[in-house]
This record gives sequence, C-alpha cells and structure tokens, in this order.
Amino acid sequence: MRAIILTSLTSLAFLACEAGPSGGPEGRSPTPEPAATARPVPELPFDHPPLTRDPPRTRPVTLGAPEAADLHPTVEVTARPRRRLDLDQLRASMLQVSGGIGWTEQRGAVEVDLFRELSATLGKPDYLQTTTEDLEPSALFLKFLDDASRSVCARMVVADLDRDPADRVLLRHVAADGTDSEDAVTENLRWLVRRFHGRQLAEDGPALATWAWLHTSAEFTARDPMVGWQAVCVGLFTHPDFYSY
Amino acid sequence: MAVKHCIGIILGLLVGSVAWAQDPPTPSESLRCEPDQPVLDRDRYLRALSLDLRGRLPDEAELAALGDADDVPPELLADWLSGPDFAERVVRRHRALLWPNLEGLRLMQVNAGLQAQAGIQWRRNIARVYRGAIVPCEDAPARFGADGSILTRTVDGARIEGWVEVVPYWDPARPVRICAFDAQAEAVSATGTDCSASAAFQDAGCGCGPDLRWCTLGNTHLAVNQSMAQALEKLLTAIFQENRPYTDLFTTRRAFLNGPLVYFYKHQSRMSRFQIEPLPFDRERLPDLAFTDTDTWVEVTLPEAHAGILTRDAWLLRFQTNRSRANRFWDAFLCTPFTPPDAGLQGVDADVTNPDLQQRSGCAYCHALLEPGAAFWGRWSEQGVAYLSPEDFPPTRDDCQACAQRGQQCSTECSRFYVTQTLARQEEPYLGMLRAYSFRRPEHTRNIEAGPRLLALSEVATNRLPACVTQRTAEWLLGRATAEDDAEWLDTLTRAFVAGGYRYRDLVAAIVTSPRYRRVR
Repeated sequence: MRAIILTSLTSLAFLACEAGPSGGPEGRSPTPEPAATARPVPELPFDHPPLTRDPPRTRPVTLGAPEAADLHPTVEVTARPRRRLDLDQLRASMLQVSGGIGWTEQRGAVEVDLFRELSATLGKPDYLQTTTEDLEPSALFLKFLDDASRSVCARMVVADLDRDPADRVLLRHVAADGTDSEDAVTENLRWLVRRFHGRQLAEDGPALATWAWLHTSAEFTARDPMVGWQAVCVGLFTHPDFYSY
Repeated sequence: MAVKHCIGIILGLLVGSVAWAQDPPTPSESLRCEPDQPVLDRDRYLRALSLDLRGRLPDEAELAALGDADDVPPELLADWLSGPDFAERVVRRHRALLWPNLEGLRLMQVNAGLQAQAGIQWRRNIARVYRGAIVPCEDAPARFGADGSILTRTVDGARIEGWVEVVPYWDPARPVRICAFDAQAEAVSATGTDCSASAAFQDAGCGCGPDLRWCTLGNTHLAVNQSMAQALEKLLTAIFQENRPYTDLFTTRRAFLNGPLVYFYKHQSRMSRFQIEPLPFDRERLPDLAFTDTDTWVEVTLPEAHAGILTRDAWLLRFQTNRSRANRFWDAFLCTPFTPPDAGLQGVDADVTNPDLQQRSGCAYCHALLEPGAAFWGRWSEQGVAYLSPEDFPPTRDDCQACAQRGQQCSTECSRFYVTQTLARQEEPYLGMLRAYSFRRPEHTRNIEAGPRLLALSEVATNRLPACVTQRTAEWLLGRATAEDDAEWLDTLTRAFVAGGYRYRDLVAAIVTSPRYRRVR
C-alpha cells in the first residue's frame, strides 16, 4: 500500500517536473506569485531548521524504478542522556526515602557518613586533584550503591518495627508478621515504588508483577517476611529508576 | 542425499521458527517492563526537575499535590527556582567553574608553626635563634628578671627557659603552655624589629605575639582557607538567591567575612607566605570578630577596584598567576580554553630567546591573547591577594627606575612589583615599570588600569560571556556537551537571557521547560 502511494506521489512529482521545462524558458508565461492563503501553517518539529522563503529552484530529475519507502522517515530528535545522580543528590534522596537513615558506620563514638568519606572514590571532585565529576554508573559505583542499600534497608526494617503503622516507611500497608493479604502486599509495593521512584504503577501491570515476584521469592527463600521487604528495598535503591533520571 | 538432508534441515528450521513465532510469551517475558517513553511523563519530569533544581526527590505531599494535573504546574517550578535549595544547587554547579578549594595551601610561614613536646608548645624552626640549639624549653614555669627579661639556664651549651601559659586565639577556652621565648608578645623587639612581620624569625626578641597571633598550631589555621572558599560561595548564594543579574558575579563589591578571615587580615597578613600586603581593603574598617567566630558572617562593601569573584581571595589564591586567572576565566566563562591545535604548535624552537611570549613562535598561538588577558589582573599581586593601587604604584616609579638602571639596592616594593632586573635586551625598555607593563602594547595598558571588571563587561558587550553562560548551563542541565544542532536553540536562549537582564533563574527555567530537557534517551 505504501509502495503504491509512494509510486503515485512520485509520478505526480514527475509530471509536475515535466510540465515546467516542456515549454522552454522562452515560451513560459511568468509564474505568478502565489496568493496568500488562510491555510494554517503546520507546526514544525522543535528542532526543525527555519523555513526559508527563497524562490524554488528547478532541478532536472530522472525517474528511476519505483521502490518501497517509508513516508514517515525517522527524525533524529535531540535528547539528553539519562543521568546518574551525583553523590549529593544520591545521599539526599536516600535519606529522604529511608525516613532519615543514611549510609553511615559507627567508628567508636563517631558516626561516619560513608557517602562523604568515599566521595572521591565515587567520583566527586575536590577541585584540587580532580576537577570533573564522574557520573558514570560504573561497577564501582554500583558496588557501593549495593553496600549502601543493604545497610540502609536493614536499618529501615528495624526502625519500622518500632514505629506506628502510619509512620512506617517500608511496611506502611503491611503487618510485620507476614500475614498480609495479596491486596495489602500490592498496595505496599505500589506505595514503595511511588516513594522510591516517583512512579504510579498500575495494579495489574507487568512492572508491579516484577516487584511482587521479587518480594515473594525472597520471602519464600528466607521464610521470613521481613527479608522479602528488605529485598524489595534493596532492589528499589539499586534500580536505575532510583539512581538515574 | 546430502542435498536432501540440507533441505530437510532448512525446512525444519523454517517450521521451527514459524512455530517459535507463534508460541505464547514465556512467563518471564510477560514480566518484562515496557520501555520508557523518550519524553518524560509528568511524574518523571517532576522528579528530574526536583533533582536538578533542589538536589533531592519530590516528597509525598508534592507528588500528591499534582493530583490530576496534566503537567507540572508553572507555579511549582517558579517556587522551586526561588528557593534556597536552588541557589545551593547553582553554587554547587559553579564549583565546577571556580574550583574553590584552598585546603592545599599553607597561608602562614612555616616558621610560625608551633609543635608540642610533652604538652609544651614551641617552634622548632627558630629554636636556634632563641636557645642556640634546636631544643625546646624545660618543663617548668618560666622565671623573669626584675626588668621582665626571661631568665635562662645553660644546658649543654643551650640557653633554656621555662614555659608560660597563654590563651591562644584559636581556642580561648583552653590556655596552652608555651616556651617563654616563643610566647613573647612585644610588637617591636629591643633591636627594633617589627615582630608582626617575617623578619621577626631572625630576632630572639620577637615571639608569637599577643594571644599567639603570629603563630599557628596544627590544622587550626585551615579555618582561614576554608573561610575563603565559603566566603566566595556565600557571595554566589546571595547573588543567585536574590536573583541578581549574572553580571554581578564580576562587578559586585559585596563580600562576606567571618572571624577567621577578619583575624587573618587584621593580624597575620604580614606573616603569610603569600603577598597579602598591601591589603585590598581598609584594615581599620574590618568588622570586630574573633577568630573563633567561624559561623558569624558579616557583609561588607569592598573598595572600587574589586570585581566580584574575580578579585576574591579564593579566586586569586586558587589561581595564583595572572595567566592562570585569565586561563580559567576564558575556559569557564568564555568557553574558549587555551588549547594547542591538534597538529601541535608550529615553530616552537625558532626563536626561543624572545622573552615576549606574544611574539615567540609557537607560544604566540595562545599567549598573543593570554598575555593581554592576564594584564587585567596586573594590579593584583601574583601568589597573593594584594592590590597595587595606582596612587602608590604608578606605572613607572622613579625610585625603582633609578635603582634598576644604576644597579643600586632596590627597595622591597621595587624588587617585588617593578621590573628591576632583565635577562634579555628586549626587556630593558621596561626597567622601572610595574611588572604588568612588561611587553604590554599601548592598546592593552588600559587592561591593567581598568582591571578584571573591564574584562567581564567587555565580554558581556561582545555577547561571548552570556553565550558561554548559556552553553555551560545547558550542558549542566542536559548532562551532555552541546552540539551543532543546538546552536540555534542556544542562540535563542542567550538572546532571552540578555534581554531579561541576565537573570540566571530565567535561563534555567527556559532550559528545563524546553523539549530538549524533557526528551531522554
């Protein structure tokens, strides 16, 4: 069908081209200026070069064999690449979704912020030795993100067990004893994905099913409902939807 | 037979592939998520905006407040752009342009450093001046004569005194024990030495001064370095939070000072390893703050010659030569780094003896532009923050010219700031002239006199600076280098930035609401 349309259009174009030179330059009547019409100007793609008002140039063409072609060629649209969070964004985001639990380590009487301690290793420039920020989601970055997630999620579970259900972060819509209905699990998963990734998942969508599968598998393997939620927590933190945008 | 076998295999494969194509999806396939759409939907857009403009995720209330709205409301964007988090993000972004880290610098002389031995502070480097040997004092209270002189006893040929207790400026709540010679507080020694300057290290009659102001202990003095960087960031924060024109960065005379900075400029500027004097402001007008007032910041207005960040101590000490100052400015704010051509510099070895880098083969590729550019800082000392006013430091000084041409002993000012010695014949015409005038062409001497403010304003007038600010901002928010097909868009942004009075907030708003920002691959 496309080929037929294309062939027809090509033929029309050919006829139009033929009509010009047939009379020769001398024999042609002066081409009248096209009258202004009220036809609305179609909106151009945002990165389309401006339309010029130069007079059309005639160019001799030859007709080749008709062939199939796409009438809607792919337009290269300038886009920005997905970006990894910088360390400050990552630290703030992790603190925010965890309800104030950061990636820290107790050393004697001092609580060390590991995102700050490892900032140089994780690509944050000090503007002395390094002046450019490394925002690659490198294997090293993912390793440390995994470490941070495991540490924070374990503490989130413990913290939630001491909180009222309405104040919980990880176990907002489920009980801590693992006797939850499938609906409660679904509601909690949707809540968590919204909190961590800012996405509103459909109740019966494939994305939610993936998280439900992770929760069920982890809970089944460990025979501990808390491990199921901890695994979901780690999965949410280490998912590109959390650490990139 | 073989042919038949092959046909059989091909048929089998074809049948198999058809059968495979018609199979229902496997369970794992049904779990596969839909790929993201290239254009950010409302929620992903909100998240991207929040991260870029505030450095954190949107919270529950903000997500809920969107309700059924089709898109992020413009009011919310305006609210975020006017908040303190946005200013902080912009300051963070400008660290990548200004590199404000001075923690590698030791501002004070090495000889000013105290060290502890058995709980008693002393200065090892100048112990020989005091005691005739590199030994500390004894662990006993110091004794004084009737005239106040320090009494000593001789031990192994060294004059050994005792210690005294002094309240140090870095921690008034904890007096320290310090050897009596080191603790001397006289402003001028018995032999007439000014004890607040580095000549004091050669005079046994000078010590660390009142409250040990001419000495340092450990990393306590790092507070000054850190305060310099913080002061720069405070200025940036003020400009962006108040939505002042971007050009204020290069023209404002506003500055912020805290306790460590005031203390350093009031008491320690002459003990510095760097050229701090003549101070670029009036010492007498510094606010009254103690060294420990680290978190107390006072806004002040600096003298006329100041040009925003370009004459702040954090900038001048981070980029210590005038060439490096120009180089950073060209790269960060004009987007034209000084880099050699891909094919390398031609004729580098042709005239290596020409001391004028604007003309020397190879060097001229960059220095023809870099030298006049560096001249904008010609009245700001290199390796320091001192300002050489036209009144005290005219382009040519008779005394400096006289000593240079007659081979006499030149004053410290002459030998430090004026051309008094030459290595090549071409330098001789500049003897007795301010160093910045060396090899300056007549049309570039105004760069020296007008200072960095002229540089910034002239680049604003040529539109190079606004265009570069637009480009750098777009690169930050898009997370990629700009390309040729961005040129027209950038040009439109630049024109709006200029027409709108150089409001950075508006520039950022224009970028984050453009389809380019919203389209992610």
